[in-house]
Amino acid sequence: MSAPASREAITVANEFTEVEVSRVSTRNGARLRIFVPGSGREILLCPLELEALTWQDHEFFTGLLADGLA
Amino acid sequence: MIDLPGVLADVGRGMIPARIYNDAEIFALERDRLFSSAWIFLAHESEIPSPGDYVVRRVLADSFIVVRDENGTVRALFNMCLHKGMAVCRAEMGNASHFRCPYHAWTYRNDGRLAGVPFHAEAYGGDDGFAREDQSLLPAPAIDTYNGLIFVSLNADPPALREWLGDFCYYLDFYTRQSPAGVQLRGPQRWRIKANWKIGAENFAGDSYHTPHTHASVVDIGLSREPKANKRKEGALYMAGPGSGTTCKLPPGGSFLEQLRYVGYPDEMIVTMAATWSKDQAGLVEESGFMVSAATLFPNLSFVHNWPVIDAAGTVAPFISVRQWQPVSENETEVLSWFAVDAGASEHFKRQSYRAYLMCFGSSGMFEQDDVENWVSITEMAAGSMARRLLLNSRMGLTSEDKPVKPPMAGFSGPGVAYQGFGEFNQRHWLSQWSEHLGARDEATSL
Amino acid sequence: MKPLPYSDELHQAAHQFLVEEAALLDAGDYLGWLGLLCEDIKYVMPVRVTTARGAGFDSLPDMGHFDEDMYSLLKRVQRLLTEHAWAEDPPSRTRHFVSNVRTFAFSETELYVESALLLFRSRGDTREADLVCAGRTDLLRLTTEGMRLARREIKVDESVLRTQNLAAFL
Repeated sequence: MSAPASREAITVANEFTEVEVSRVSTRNGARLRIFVPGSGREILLCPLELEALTWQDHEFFTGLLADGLA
Repeated sequence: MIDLPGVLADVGRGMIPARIYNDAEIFALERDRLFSSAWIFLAHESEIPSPGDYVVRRVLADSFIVVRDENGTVRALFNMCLHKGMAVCRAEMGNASHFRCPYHAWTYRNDGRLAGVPFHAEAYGGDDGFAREDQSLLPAPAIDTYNGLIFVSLNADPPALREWLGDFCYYLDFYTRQSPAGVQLRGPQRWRIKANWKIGAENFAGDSYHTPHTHASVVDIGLSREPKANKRKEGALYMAGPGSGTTCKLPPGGSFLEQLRYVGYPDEMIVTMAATWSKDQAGLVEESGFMVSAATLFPNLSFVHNWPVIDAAGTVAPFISVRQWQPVSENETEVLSWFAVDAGASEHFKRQSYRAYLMCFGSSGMFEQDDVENWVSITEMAAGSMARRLLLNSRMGLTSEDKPVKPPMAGFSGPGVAYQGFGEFNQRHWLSQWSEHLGARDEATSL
Repeated sequence: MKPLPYSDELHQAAHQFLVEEAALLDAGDYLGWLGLLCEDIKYVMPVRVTTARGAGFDSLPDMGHFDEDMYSLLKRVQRLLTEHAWAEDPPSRTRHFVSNVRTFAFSETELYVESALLLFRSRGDTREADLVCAGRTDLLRLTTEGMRLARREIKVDESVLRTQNLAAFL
């Protein structure tokens, strides 16, 4: 989907990448948009998916990073 | 026990047993033989524009999550957890990629597939005890859309929606396709009335005869564009496929542009309508000189298009409403009333059209107020034993030999059959479909 | 902002205004009621919806039961005064109960007033009576002619109204 206009975007960056995070409203609810200006890629996560992230440890993300962007 | 063949025979000759408007046995038959198989409207795609957006809607007692999944597919999922039967969604709208049941946290993707069962390994012994694969919230047996209107059928093998809508699509486009952008629905307002659901459906299907008297007050106060409500008798009534409706006669000799200006559309919308509608559709306005007014798509979805005067300067603004008569019981109905407007219209037009809607229809609408008073009264009268002896005369427009008082209109631009003037052709058309369902064996109850 | 103490004369005047207004409505004196409204009145009643606690909204942003100005309210009143307004003829017996009044001094000439409203509406002799329960937030203006209602937002406590229509003012 083309994301609705984001508001209050927060930029989180380091020397390896830069990411914009913002809350976007759909007609009936809200999601968190994670957007990487460098690649133009984005994902919109719903609250339940965000909660599920908190159940992970960094090994989980290491796994994701190990695969890289296919 | 009700004598069903007798009731249907009376309905067939236009003499309606009054009891059908408040009778528990009839209502049970409607549940088992009509709502179990017909295409029933649930929502419009504009109510769930983004992935994860959902609304919860019912077909009688069955609650469905109407959701756009992550791939953009619109689905209707029976809102009952596979495990212990809890309602998975208790809010009436929201956005979620996954639904998590509040009871034991069984979790479903928003396409319905079961994704998670807590302690699956420990409690069930993994897939050996309970295979999650291929488990899904029950989808509505059939789902399809037309102009973004989402319909479901509890019958797994209904006729194709487009085929079933048939010639009614010609008229449906006036309400739901004024431009390629399509229609956008706002609402619904919801309220409960102590009236049988059929009365509203029949009224919108073809009752132009009630307008001069029931709605006299809106003419008195100058809300109506037309100075005399009995102008309704010049309108055409049409029946096409599973729908039927009323129209209003436009001033003689006007071009397409002039006629649509007359009902209050701005030029830029008229140009788009001319490019969007077929030549035949434009012909209803230009050649035949009629504008669609109220309509009902069997069984319980109605439409209205009207063009009141909305301010002291005399501004005429048209509006469209989509409404559903959701049966609660034989003597109670939940009305869901949406304001509908072309998604491509200007903000200025949308504001004026919304104002026109609120003044005329919906929970506070000045037309609707008097309608509901009548329908509640009919339902109340239909409850007792005297009503069981009364056959209501619904034969308007027919001679004693069942011939139309006036022949059908020749050269009417729209498909189906049309009559000019007052008549109860459309209500009988609606009731004949109702009879067909009630007289049929209830094959769908074996679901 | 803290509400004015109940002993404050402005609070008492605001409370009395709401009670007098209710008396006019219950007496069916709709023209008298219009006289209590400012010419630039905004009278709105959003549609309430059931949403999650964290959703951030519990009414539809773009759909109301009422969204009125003086012209549309005048038309509603004029209609009720015709001989053909069947929805209220015979009239309902209504009682507007106003309570939980809190007054906030907004400016030199304007007060915010919150109140709870319970409308009892009885029609005919066989139907169960209807109840409509709502919170109201009003902007009252102090004019040379006395207190007048400039804004009203009615926050109804049901998502599905249990009354056959809103041929009544809240």
